[in-house]
Amino acid sequence: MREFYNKIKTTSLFGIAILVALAFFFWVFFKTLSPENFGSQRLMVGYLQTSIQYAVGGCGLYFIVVMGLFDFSIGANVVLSSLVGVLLSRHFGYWGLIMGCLLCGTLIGIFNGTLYSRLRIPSMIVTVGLMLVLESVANFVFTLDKSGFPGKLNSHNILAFNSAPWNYIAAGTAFLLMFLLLRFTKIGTYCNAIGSNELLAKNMGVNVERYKFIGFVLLHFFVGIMALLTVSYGSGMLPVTGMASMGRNFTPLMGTFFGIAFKRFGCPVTAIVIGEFIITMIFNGLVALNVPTTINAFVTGAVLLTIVSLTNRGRLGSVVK
Amino acid sequence: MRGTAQNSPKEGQKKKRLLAILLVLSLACSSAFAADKKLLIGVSIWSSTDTLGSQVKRILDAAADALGVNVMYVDQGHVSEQVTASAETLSAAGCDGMIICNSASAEMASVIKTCTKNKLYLAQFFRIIDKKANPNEYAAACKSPYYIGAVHENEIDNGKNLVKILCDKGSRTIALEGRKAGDATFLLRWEGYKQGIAIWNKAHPTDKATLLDPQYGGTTSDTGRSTAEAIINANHNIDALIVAGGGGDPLVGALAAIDSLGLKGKIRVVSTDFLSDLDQQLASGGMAAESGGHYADPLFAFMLVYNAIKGNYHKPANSFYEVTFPYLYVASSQDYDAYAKYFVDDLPYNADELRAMADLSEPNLAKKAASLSIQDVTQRRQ
Repeated sequence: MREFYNKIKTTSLFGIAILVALAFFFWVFFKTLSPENFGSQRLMVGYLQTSIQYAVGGCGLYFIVVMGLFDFSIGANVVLSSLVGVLLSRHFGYWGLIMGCLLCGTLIGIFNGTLYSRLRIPSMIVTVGLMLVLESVANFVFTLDKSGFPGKLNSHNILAFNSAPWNYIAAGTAFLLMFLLLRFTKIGTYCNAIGSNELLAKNMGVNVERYKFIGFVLLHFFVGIMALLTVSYGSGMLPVTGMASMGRNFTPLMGTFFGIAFKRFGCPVTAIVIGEFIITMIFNGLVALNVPTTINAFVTGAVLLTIVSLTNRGRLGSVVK
Repeated sequence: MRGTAQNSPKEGQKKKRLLAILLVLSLACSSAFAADKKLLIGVSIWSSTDTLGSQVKRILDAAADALGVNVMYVDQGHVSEQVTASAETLSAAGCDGMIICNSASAEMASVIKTCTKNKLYLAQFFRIIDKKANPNEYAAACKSPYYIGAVHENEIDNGKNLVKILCDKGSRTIALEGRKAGDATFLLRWEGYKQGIAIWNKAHPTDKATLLDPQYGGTTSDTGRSTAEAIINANHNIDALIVAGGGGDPLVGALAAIDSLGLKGKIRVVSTDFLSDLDQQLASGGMAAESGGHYADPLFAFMLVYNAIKGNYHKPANSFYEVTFPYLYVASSQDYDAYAKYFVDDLPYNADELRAMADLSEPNLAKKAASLSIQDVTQRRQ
């Protein structure tokens, strides 16, 4: 019996069961305290709709965070890719919006990856510099939009990704792609191997630099999809300066933490999606209880730390990077 | 060829040379801008690119062109340490004066100190230091010979007026979405909303209105939308939403939220900071009313500093100049048409008027600010 339990404990089904149980726990908690204003079927669909854009970004971040890298330019990429998408949508409609976001996002990934591998500077430093550069470029792109309402998607004819079903289709495609990449390609295996022990992976013949570059490209491709969903969700995007885009990095990162924590169960994609959903549910639950936003942020942070530390606690004597 | 070990020394040198050339080129570009020896006035602003910030930049650039002054912008994102650092940055850049929109009044102690130390004339826009709440900062402002004054709106009256508009239109349960906790302007507006509710309830004891506690939606349209959705989902009975500033972007998100929930026209939305498509929003019922047009406020702070540098204005002993700027209220698409003609498609002052404004005495400048309205511009243009 114990053997059976130990065996099942490592399966992805067990991980998914924990995630679903966690989501159910928070749903019951807030539903009990605020039965009228929380957790109805319609509202749950709304929470999911809010969370999927961050989950897509979280999927992208997984590729580099699992290798021990970080990228501060995600928010700036979201802003720039969104503005490029909006600008191109003025001329090419949906094709302009989709291709503008995805291509711009991917190109930024290629640029970031190239600079990281060429300059050989820690990823945090490179990406902070790139964040400033991308914010400036976004301001320039913004000035090119002469529509009278720059940065805004103010026509319903271009807002399909603002709501169901297209936002779910875009996000679902991204999750499926992430799952396929991790499960059926060398990229997923090597990214995990590099994250576990970079030197060992290198000695085994893994081209570490190449897979780090691929990690950056994949991250920013997913950020391109996130940009498409974010600009549609908010009906517009405006450029920012002075590192103000950095705030956009952290909500996807929280989902990535769930992914990393549940990596050992083999279900990082599900963990990222459900993790972001739990975070959105907590935010909405606390608003339903009329808790001030400052307390809301405190509770969200505390819950995240608790869940990640309980599910990803290292064994005694293990090295924590 | 990848990796340091595999790079030949020649390649490494080539890379270094290329980087050095790039660095020299970028420095040369910046020195080309610095070579111009006109008066230089710094602008410390939360953002020069969002809806309100870009309008502020537009009118300040027009004033600078008319007066032959250079302007330098520092975007500080209303992050306290960046606000205080902006004064040092502008001082180091050789500015003769600066205008600032700070986040919290506590930051002004450091800003005033930096400006006094570096002999940099200073005026606030969209803000004033409250004597009761911040006595130390107020005393420092009075004492410093370089703190010229402040231009600000009466935010409490603005809040009261918006609540009155909502109550008059029939709203009784009003939700509130702010941009961030502790923001000085938001706190004043919130006080105004509360006073507006108190006034209404006193006058209508059998038909009372309620204002919900605020939730904060940041400064972006997507966070604005998710917060508005959370507020509406948590309070099914609300019939109005006040989106209290944030440069217009949270309002864009909040309107998207109301639209997506099928509540357009059912929840009346009022805000401060005009949107570029406000006429459409008013016509479609997306918005009930909006106060704004205050992007010209920094122009008067700019004029205060400009005249102080020129030696035309002498700061009153142990005090400073205070200019109150009026809000414009728009509640129909007809109102907006007139506003758009003179404030969106054009600026409320042309180059000649800006040059004439720079020659006004301080009391006349204050009168000029107080008289700005859609009617005022219409009369001047006819």
